[in-house]
Amino acid sequence: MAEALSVRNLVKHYPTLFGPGQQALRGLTLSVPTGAAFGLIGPNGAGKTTFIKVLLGVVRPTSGEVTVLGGDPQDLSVRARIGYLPERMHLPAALKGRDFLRSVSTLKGLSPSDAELGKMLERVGLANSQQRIGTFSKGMRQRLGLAAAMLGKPELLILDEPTDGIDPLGRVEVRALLLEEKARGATILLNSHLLAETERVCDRVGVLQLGQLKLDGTLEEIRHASSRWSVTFANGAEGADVAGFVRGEKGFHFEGDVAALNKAIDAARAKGLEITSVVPMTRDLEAVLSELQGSEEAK
Amino acid sequence: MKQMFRVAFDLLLEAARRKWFLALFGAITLVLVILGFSLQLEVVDGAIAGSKLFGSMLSKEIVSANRVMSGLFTVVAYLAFYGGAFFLALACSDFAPELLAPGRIEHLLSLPVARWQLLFGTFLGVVTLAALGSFYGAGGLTILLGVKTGIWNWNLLLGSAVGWVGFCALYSVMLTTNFFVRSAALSGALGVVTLILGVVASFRESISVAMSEGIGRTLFSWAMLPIPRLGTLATVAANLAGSLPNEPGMVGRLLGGCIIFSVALLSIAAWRFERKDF
Amino acid sequence: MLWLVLAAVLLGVGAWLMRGAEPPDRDPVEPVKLPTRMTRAEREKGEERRTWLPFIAPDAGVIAEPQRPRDPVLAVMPSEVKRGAVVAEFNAILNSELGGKLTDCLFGDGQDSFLQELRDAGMDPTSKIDRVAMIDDSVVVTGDFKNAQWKRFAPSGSDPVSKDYGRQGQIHEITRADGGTDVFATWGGQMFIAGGDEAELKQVLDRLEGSGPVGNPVVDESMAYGEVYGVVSSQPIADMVRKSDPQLASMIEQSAKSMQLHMDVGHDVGMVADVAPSNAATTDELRRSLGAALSLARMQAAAKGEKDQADILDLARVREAEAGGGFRLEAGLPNAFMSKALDECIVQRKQRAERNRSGVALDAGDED
Repeated sequence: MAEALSVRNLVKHYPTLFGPGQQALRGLTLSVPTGAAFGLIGPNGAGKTTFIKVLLGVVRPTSGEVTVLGGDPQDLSVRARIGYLPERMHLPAALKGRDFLRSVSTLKGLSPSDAELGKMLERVGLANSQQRIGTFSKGMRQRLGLAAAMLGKPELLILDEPTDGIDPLGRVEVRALLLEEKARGATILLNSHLLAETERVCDRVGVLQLGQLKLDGTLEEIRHASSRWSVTFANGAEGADVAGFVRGEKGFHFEGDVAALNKAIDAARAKGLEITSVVPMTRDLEAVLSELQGSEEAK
Repeated sequence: MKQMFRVAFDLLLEAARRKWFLALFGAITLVLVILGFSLQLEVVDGAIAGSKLFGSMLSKEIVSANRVMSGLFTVVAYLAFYGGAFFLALACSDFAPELLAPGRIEHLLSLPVARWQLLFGTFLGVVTLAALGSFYGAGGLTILLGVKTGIWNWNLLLGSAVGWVGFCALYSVMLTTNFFVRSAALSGALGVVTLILGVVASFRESISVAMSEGIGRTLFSWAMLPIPRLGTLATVAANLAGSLPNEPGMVGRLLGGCIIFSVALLSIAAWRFERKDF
Repeated sequence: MLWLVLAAVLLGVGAWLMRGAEPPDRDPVEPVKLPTRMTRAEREKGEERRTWLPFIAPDAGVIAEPQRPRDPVLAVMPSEVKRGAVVAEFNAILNSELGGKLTDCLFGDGQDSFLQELRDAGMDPTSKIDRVAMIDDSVVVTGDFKNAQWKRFAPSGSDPVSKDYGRQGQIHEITRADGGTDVFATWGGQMFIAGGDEAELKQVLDRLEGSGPVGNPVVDESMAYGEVYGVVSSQPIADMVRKSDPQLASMIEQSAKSMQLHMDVGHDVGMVADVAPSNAATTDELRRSLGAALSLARMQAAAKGEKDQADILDLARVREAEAGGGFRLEAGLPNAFMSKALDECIVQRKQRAERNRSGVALDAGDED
């Protein structure tokens, strides 16, 4: 499958006058296949926004290779095929929503009709807004930014916190829009703190921590990429805890890799215990992040 | 190139929707209307037999309307040059910071627009706006005095064009400042400082002769060398407006120098912009 | 980096272009000095000119003017004039800054035959003439005429028939080539009076010696300032403009009584003319019309690109008089302009003299 974007050994330093400064990305290597909805998650300061800006050519990498839609992000023809919604978008307050969309369209080399602009505003739920952007609520601004990003049916949509400030009902609408874009064939790169959002929209996820990619895979892979197992015993469970199984409220579980699990099973059998099921325990993304955070702190 | 004009057009569109610039055109109109009502010129066959401003008699002498207008246009051109440059420097100071605001510049840079196009387009947009303002004021004044006196002296428009070139140099400094420190206040202040330095630079030779020889004089001479001669430009504009003679060669050199200075400053801005992360 | 290199190059080019571009020194338009009042020097000069004129006992019944020293030229002034009475400080003008050029313009390089004739007659205008006054149709010339040879003015070369009149006056009669006679008068070797008949000359001499009827002279001592001064009635001015602007001529006749004139020729040529009204309403109308006419003329000159003329007209003003309902007309010709004009006059004169000389030589050649 062709890659919509790929980076290899991406490094970004923000040097200061008095020292080496902050290292935002540390040898990041990642690729997103065309048509995928890729969720980028990670704690604050992980380098997610810097990574996005590198993809757009807004930030120049210190080293490494960046390919977006088969070309260099500095190439204007590549940028013409990207739709971007920045985090905390600053919109010209004096303009009306339609004016802003027309302005962005012109800069993208598009010439949409009034009807087309109206349709786009309708898609993001701003059909009836005739006031200036200065009077828009935060949610309305996000919707307008999203509409601007979707103008011209871009091949790649890069969205930085698209549902920030949008009410729960609005989030559902935005999610539906993103799924529509995905169904259209657009590749989506989503950076959101709302992990549930990412889980619902994305089919692939990358976890960034301290400028490095810690996990990368399909949502299933990530959720199951765990060392916790749920174990049930057939007849009583006397002595199970001796073999390393831990009793919990809902039964026994085991923590450890597959080899350790097999050793524990062998030990339990030797004690006459009959095991009826061993199921890997799934986690949500929040748990994945927490685990990563915990292990990093332990280090 | 097309993108540069699109950026300029967008800026104009935004300016047109901003109350500040509606206020600018409103203020110019107001000044013209007040002047129109308060200036009473008694005209006899192209001569002014008496003129009153706010009810006070200015002169009992019968003089050629042309001559009175020449003086009036000269004074107006000086006032418009310095006042206009000062006012526009403050009024236009927040365009670039607004454009470079976090959340907006990233979006603009994600669009298929080169950074230099964004820079030169912004410059073009603001100076076009300044041109519209100054031509509106100069044109209005010409029409007002033309209707009152029958003397249609379009030279004030030429004078305002010269003033506009001066503002281009001024704004190039203001715009460039923002790529180092994004601040409307600093940008406006540097615009005013450039205006003052431009007047000082106009008398570079005279001042350096008056200074005692030494490092100070040499430093002054070199520092003032590239600064646009805004004081001289003001005199040229006033002379043009008042139908007084100008040395064509010097005017050409001055205008050319100012435009080249502007492009030079924008080149520095472009160098900075191309390297800058947002 | 390319941008920085470009910036450095452009800054250099810009600095080179703008080198030395200081605001041009505006040539201060020096106002032409106008003779608006008598200067101290003029007052002192006037006092020096006062002479104890010989007193002649008046006729019975005529009240004698109390005796006091008077300026002889002003003493000959009548109390009324038909056309005007104007005095020119001839010697002062010829010795002014423009005088040299004026002399060359008037008399060429000394080869002028008329000048030579005057010199031969002992009336060298460049050294012997002090003032020239025109009083209606009479001409009064003052200067040093002690050695004047009046017979030179007679075509026959014969001595004029002279007779004494009053204390120092003499009336001379010369016979013209056609047999008719011309009369002129002299007074004390310092005054020459021509124009009019013998009776008129006698009236002038009577006024000079204080033996005639007493009245206020049309040009008095308070008016004797500037290099040219006097009074001109409205009629000759109206006649002057009648051809080009009959309406203006008629307006002048109706509204202006007379015009007191003063002219400075020291450095620039400055002229002030105070117009005395005969009708306040029409005089105001005349004032406005003249102002407008001057302005229009200036604009027309400017439109035609005649800068010099426009500049000169720019110096012309019409001001409302402080009192009396009249107005003041001011005009000026800057020294540079006058100098240029006189230079042109000298060149033309030389060319004319050259043509005349070569014409004479050609004639002489033909005779050979």
